[in-house]
Amino acid sequence: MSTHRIRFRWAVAFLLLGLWWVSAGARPADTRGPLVVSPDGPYVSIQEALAVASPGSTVEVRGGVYTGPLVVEKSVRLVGVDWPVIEGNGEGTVVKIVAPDVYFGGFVVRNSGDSLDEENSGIAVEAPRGVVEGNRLEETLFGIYLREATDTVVRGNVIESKALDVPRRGDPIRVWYSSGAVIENNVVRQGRDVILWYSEGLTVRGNRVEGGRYGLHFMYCDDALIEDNQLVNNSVGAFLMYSRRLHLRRNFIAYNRGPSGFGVGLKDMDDALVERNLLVDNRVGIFVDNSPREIDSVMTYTRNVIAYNDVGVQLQPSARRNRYEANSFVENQEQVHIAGGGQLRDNVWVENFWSDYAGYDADGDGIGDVAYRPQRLFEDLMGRYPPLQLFRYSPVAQALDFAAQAVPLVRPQPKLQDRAPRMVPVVPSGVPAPEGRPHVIFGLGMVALVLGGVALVGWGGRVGGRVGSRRGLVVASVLGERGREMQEDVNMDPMVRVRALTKRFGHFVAVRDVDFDVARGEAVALWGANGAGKTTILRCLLGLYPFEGDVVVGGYHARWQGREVRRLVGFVPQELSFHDDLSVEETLCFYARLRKTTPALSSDWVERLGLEELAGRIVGELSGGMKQRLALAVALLGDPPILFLDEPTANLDVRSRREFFELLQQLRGAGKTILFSSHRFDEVAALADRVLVVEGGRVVSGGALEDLAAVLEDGVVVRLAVAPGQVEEAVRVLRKLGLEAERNGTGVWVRVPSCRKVEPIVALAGAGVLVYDFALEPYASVSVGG
Amino acid sequence: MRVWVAAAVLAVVLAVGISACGSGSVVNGPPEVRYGEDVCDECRMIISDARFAAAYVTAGGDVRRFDDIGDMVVYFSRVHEDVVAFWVHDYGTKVWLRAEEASFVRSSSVQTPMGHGLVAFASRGEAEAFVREHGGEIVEFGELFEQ
Repeated sequence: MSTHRIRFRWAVAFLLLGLWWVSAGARPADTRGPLVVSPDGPYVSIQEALAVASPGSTVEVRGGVYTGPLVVEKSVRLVGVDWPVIEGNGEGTVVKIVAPDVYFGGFVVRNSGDSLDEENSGIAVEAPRGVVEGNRLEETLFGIYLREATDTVVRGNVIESKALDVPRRGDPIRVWYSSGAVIENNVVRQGRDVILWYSEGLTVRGNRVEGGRYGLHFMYCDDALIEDNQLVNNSVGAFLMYSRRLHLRRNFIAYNRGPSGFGVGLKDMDDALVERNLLVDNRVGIFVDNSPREIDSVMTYTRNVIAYNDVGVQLQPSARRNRYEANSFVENQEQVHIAGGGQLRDNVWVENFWSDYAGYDADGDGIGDVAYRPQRLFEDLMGRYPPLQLFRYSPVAQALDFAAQAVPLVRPQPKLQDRAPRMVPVVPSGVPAPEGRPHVIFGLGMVALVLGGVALVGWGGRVGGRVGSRRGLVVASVLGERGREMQEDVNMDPMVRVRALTKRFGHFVAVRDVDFDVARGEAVALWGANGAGKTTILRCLLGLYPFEGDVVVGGYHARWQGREVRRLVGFVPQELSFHDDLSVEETLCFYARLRKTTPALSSDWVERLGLEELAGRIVGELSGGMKQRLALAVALLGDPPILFLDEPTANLDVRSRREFFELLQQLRGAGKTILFSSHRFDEVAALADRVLVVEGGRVVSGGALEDLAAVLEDGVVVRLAVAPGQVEEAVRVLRKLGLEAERNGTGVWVRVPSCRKVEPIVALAGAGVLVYDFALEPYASVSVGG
Repeated sequence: MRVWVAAAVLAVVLAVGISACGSGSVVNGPPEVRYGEDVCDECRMIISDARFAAAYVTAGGDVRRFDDIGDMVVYFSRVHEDVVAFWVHDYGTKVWLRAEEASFVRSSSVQTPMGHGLVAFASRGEAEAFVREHGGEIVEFGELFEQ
């Protein structure tokens, strides 16, 4: 090559470089900072800025309205400042990204076309590794559509669809052949489905999807992680199909009650792990069909709370190799349903909590001593003949089950067996707190109850006869004080009515022919020695045990409307079973969610109970008194009109006991109806308007405190806590006085005439025995029951 | 107690009677599908789009409804019921067609509810026009059950 030719080429190169330099200098060059688009320039349209942008450039778009469609063909960063609007004018797709590695964030994208065939979208991404972040999509048919956009991130967008009939809406998020995509922290309202098809290794995290058809719909997506999402008020929460190794954890899935109405549906799935989800108030909590498919595959469901659904878990009879371990089945109208009836085989049910378990835990290891075996004839028939669902909650269904119990020949085989049922539920930690308007949801729930009550009028008979009082209660709950006044006008029935209550455990009669009433706003004590049957009576009133007789609480029959009763009653059990790893706030929020009521920390009672300042404290670190306050706060969630308390201060010291009873007195003053059990006379005297003395499973006496003299003629038992090492000395001193005294564990038990209750304490003090505490009980020669 | 048991038995008889009357028996003509309410007998998803919906009627008068023609094929291939008539919709007009008289197109460019990519047409000419525009292949009804 000649020297002349080389010089010529160098000259051309310099000339081209000079021309580029001049042209770049004529406009704000992206090498000196972002290309700025605003209504006042330097660029007035996004397309104009994109035309000169280089790969890697940042295009900053300031507030204003810009006309779409916008096609991004370069790998740039498009950053909206002050919410610039890209207007689609009702035609086609508004923003289409066809270059890889594009960042698009901070925009309002609105008004796409409405053609389902053309899949008109707000933002369509058709290249890998994009980031679509922090945008608002309004009036778009499809929202964000990933087509072969592998490893793309869709994060923090708010998507609201066009106001069309559900089938005519597009999908707010659609992921199509886009493996490795991450969909996180988006809010989706009123769309059709969030679709995730033909994509592997997806992450779907922290999204809220509400008011659509399918909160999430997975097909052919292996190895996905679905966590911390809220899927509420859709037809179906999450429908997972034809996929392997999906991991669904810590999601809040509630109020999904459309035509399918599944919280989670799993069809043709393999090796899925469903854990620590909260599935509340769906038509069906978990639906399982033909899963797993493969012989070496197992489906695992563990530590989920499945609560207040019409059906907790519904399985096809062919379901095999499903393992349900450590889940909590709480108050589902039917805990497990087998479509078509029959029994399940080759599935494992172990250490689940069942709220309708009526067994016992004699060895105190937290596991029931007899297996859980649901045996209900009507459920069995309903599985075989679906039209019978018409009669599901009617007295007819109850009568059939009753007949099945009476005539073992027609008793169905149990559909499943859990040999080691838990006595207390497992509370999953870390499930996202629900947003929205819980009071509205609660109100709607109450309205539903009203409608249910009205519908039940048609049944007539004994149930219908109580509807008036139930409706009064519901009106009171919804309308507050005005409702309460209305209620008083329409209803003077007792709040609790017990007739001929008898409870047998096998041949042992724990409660026998008990009758009593509790009037509205009254505080009544069940007073008796340990083992007299007080706890059993309370558990029967809550509908937790089957029993004989007639119990009506707030207008509901406890025998067949236990769930409704428990909605009206705040219950403080003797043994508290909180999750020690949760904070006070998390515990209250958890139970608030279950009861579908307002966030707990805003409650007036939480403040009065002194729990506000303890919100962040771990429950395991609380004192006994504080735990008891927490239990009372939980019982008061939703402001129930009735409180049942079972030996509420059994484990408290003197000061905590006094403070706790001061709170209960405030509650009585606030109009709550209170029924509590106690073996301590001082507690009874402090709170009760009336006392029912329980002995040997019977109510042997009842009346005002001053009428108890006759009962006390047999004397009372004083239980004394004395200093360690002085127990024998105390017994000796008391026997020397001529009293019947015995060692009782680390304390002393002494029977005295009712007019000499203080004498043992004075005598022991005189003998130098240090008395820390004392309790009074009626003397009962027979001690039975629980 | 006798009264209760008698009431229960009566109710069961009534319910069974109601179920017999209300099972959606169809003797002639296409079945009814309540869009947005009925669920697919195969996948349990809601049937929303008439273009892809299908159904068949058994000899006993029972109706099976599907959100996707492909789901009807899958369901029938599994249960093998005695069927009186298979029904599908014309993709363009949404009119019911007897499946035996329809022409089908399988195309990956059509996103059907369960991803089978099957649509039906009243005439072969319309099916061919669809294939020219969107791609895919024409299949006859009987061929659907052979795969």
